Amino acid sequence: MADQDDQQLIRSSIAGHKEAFGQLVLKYKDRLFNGMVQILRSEAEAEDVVQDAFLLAFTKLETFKGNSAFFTWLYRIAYNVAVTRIRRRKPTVSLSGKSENSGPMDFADTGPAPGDRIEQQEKVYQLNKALERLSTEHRAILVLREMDDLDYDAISEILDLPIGTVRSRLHRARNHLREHLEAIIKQT
Amino acid sequence: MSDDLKTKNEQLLSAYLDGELNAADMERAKTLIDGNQEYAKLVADWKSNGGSIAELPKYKLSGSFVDKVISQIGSGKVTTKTSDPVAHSASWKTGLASLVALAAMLLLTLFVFPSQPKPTVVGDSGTSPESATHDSTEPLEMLSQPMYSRAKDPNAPANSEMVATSGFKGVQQMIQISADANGLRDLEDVFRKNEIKISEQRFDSKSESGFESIFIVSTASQMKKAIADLKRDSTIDVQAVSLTPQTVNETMNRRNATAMQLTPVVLKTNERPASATPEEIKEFERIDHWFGLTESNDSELVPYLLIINTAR
Repeated sequence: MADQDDQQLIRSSIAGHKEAFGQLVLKYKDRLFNGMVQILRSEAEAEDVVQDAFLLAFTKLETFKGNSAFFTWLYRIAYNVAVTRIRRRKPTVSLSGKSENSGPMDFADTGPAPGDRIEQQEKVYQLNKALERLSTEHRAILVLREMDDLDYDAISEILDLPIGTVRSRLHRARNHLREHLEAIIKQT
Repeated sequence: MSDDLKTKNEQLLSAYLDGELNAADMERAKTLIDGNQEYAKLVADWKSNGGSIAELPKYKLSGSFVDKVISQIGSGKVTTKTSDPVAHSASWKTGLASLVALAAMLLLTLFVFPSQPKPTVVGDSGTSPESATHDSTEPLEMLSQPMYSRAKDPNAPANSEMVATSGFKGVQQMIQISADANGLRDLEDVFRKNEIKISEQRFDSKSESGFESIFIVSTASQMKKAIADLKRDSTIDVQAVSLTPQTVNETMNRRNATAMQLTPVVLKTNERPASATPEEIKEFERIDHWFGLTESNDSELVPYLLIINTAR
């Protein structure tokens, strides 16, 4: 259910108050951007997607029923835009086992730093590398669950999946991530 | 413990970690963790990895981003409309209904020719693929390079790629699976999990039914397990029937007409006849190309042609 503040801002936006929509953008832009960066593995593309998602959301605000949180609705729009972009990026769905990413994401700098920091940076690097190896769907579901702390209902709505599939996909995503991480750690 | 039970238990534990279980299932999950060190370690690893994801550095947009969005709205090019932006995308329910309907026309076909010579790739490279010398008892790795050299056919439908081989020896295994976009991803995961090789070769037809094809190499046992995994997934529809040679002909002919835009051809044997006319040879080679056929005498390591109906 959309919270009262959001409902009010949405009503004002529909009434023509751009500033109200600006407040919604301000409220959710970073959270949405962070998720899209993880899914797309590209900051530039994520920014484009988030912008497109907000513009698309604005044009369709009247269709938002308020049955779910505004962020969930917005996230679903952004996710669809991102998936469309990924498909355009590579016209056929890759089954080659190669990463579908357009390019490597900037991982944390692993240059000279105090011992703890190097270790932490190494962990972040390994995790990013493991996430990179996941399919878009697995990466997305892990980001929604672990990073955005969304429950199965919200994930189900965003990804347009039955709850049972959310459950089984999360399980598989976790196992894949674990396997990739183990392999990466062994290599280093 | 069977793989099915293990998977179900792990799914329960995954949901437990997410706090998505009722009281009874939660007790079951706790019992599993307390009574099995492997499960306890698995849950601990998942939890640790999840925590690490949550702690990844956060990305932020600049403050000017809001102005950028608002200025676009202010330009008058963007106005509120009434159609639902998320309703236009096909829902899983619609997709599933389509899949059920399509399932009737989709077949999992298996026709094995056990006495085939060793896999040979003849093309630009003229070298044997990795699979030709692979010990089938070892796990297979995902292919990093195409197994087969490519050739471009000027008559091929747009967005198509094909496999250049010579010497038609017959289809080893042909599988048809119905999958939506999510299903394709699941398919990829299942193959990866079962260590099944996937070639880069694929060719999309432009048919409305949306067939796509890839060529893969697997042992029979790996494929059997992969299919079992696929069948468990709600987004993927797999049906299997055994085909007689007559059905093979019909299947290929139907594909000729609807999916692959091939000229119908009757295959009386699984080998090119010695007395074939130039036209017949041409047709065989054409089929050979389109279906990515190759030779194999390894009854364990079997090339498969996977045809996916993406139900788009």
